[in-house]
Amino acid sequence: MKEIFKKRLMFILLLTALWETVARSGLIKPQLFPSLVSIWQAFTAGMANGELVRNAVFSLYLIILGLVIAMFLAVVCSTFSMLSRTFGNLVDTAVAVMDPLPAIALLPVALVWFGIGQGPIIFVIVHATLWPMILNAVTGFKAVPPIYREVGENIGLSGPRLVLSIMAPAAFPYLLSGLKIGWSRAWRALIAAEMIFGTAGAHGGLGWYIYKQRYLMDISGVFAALIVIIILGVLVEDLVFGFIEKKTIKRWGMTS
Amino acid sequence: MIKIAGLLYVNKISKIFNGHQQPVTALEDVSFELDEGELFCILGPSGCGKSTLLRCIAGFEKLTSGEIMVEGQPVQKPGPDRTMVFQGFDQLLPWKTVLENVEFPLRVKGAGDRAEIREIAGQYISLVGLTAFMHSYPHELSGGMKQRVAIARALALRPRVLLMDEPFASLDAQTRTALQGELITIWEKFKITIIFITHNIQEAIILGSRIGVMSSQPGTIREIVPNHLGRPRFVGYPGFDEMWAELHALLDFNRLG
Repeated sequence: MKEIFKKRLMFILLLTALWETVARSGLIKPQLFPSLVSIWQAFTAGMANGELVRNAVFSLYLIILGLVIAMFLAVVCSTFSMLSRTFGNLVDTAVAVMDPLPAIALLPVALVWFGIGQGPIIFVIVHATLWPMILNAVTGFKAVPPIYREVGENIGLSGPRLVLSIMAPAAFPYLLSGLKIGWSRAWRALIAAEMIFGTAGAHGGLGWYIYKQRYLMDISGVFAALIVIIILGVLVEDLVFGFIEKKTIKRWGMTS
Repeated sequence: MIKIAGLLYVNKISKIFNGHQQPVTALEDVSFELDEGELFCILGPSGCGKSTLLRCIAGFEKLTSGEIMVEGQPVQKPGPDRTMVFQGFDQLLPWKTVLENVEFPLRVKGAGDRAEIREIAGQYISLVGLTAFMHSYPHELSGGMKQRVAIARALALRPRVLLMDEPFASLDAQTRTALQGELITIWEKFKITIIFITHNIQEAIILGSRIGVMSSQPGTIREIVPNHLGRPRFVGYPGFDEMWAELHALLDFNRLG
């Protein structure tokens, strides 16, 4: 873990040095390629006046809401896939058809169906995350060694109870990687959706913030928002998912 | 006590699998009866269908014909009255500690409130000598310890018949001998009924109060040999060698060639 941090720190230092060299060399106009100092100023200013924080919180709120809905649907769909072959085939087909469709392509449809507001963005996030999560869950369920299922049946479990108390924890590594994929796909879908129409509610979200700062030709502000996105991504990946992994699959010896 | 019928009654069962090219007959016309408190060893070469027979009794496989009755009730599906101890070390649930692995089936069965279930689980874990490892996860245990936990988990449910599918086959010789001894102790103490599958003649002699010898193609019980040797048994015990020779002859290894 410490080794990883050291390497990352080295990489970040190298990148900033490179960045600053290019920015100060005068080869590119500072309006297009701002120096780290001006990005930092934009970052602190955005944090201080609360605009960056508000937008980040709003984006996170949309992502988490979308992910929770998608997780619930994924659990329901994959559970029934395990219980009924017909339903399983249906879900397989749905995943095969829907997964290749980029979420953002559905935004116009979502706008027509749900109107302006949070609805279409949530819809787009659910679409972006649901299919990979179902795919991972079903793959995970299928990869569960038959012995766990037999142990469950032997002690008298069957149906949804068998799926939830035996199959789900046995497939947990797959479920977790599905959630990770869902998280990163949710970010992409969200930022894109917010850029197309940000004014959902009072705060527009980070995508809207980036779009707006570009419109105002505040390139430093654009980069400040990008940094916020990177920081959030790394924090969630390392802290949240890292913590879950440590408490679950690492503790259970289920990492391969 | 007047014996009306055996505890377990296997009547002319056959099992045919749908193979890739042609149907495969795994079991043909297998019959035997089991009384309460017996330790019945089923001895046979690999591929003779002994595991299939046990899986039929457990209810994991549907019979092609015949019937299996436990206390007069036909076996339809798996159930906690016939708990199974498998050969593989992966039969414990890796996301549960030793204690939770033993508690979980009791909770499913509704064997009492929280405290009662903990108490029962604790007793059976101490029976197999693993109290110190109660809060360990399965991946932290050795193969022998995992099999001990699996035995504790199966016993805690107080099954009518304990089904053991070569549970010691993957263990080293020393651990296997130790676990055989422990199993005998538990069996004598609790008067449980056990069906124990093995391909090892020595193991069958040391454990079994009766030994059913299976032959393959078609898989069936050829002969049931009563084992009257005194306990504790060991290799070289008076009568051991004769019994070994008898079983070896019955197994008919030449035919497998």
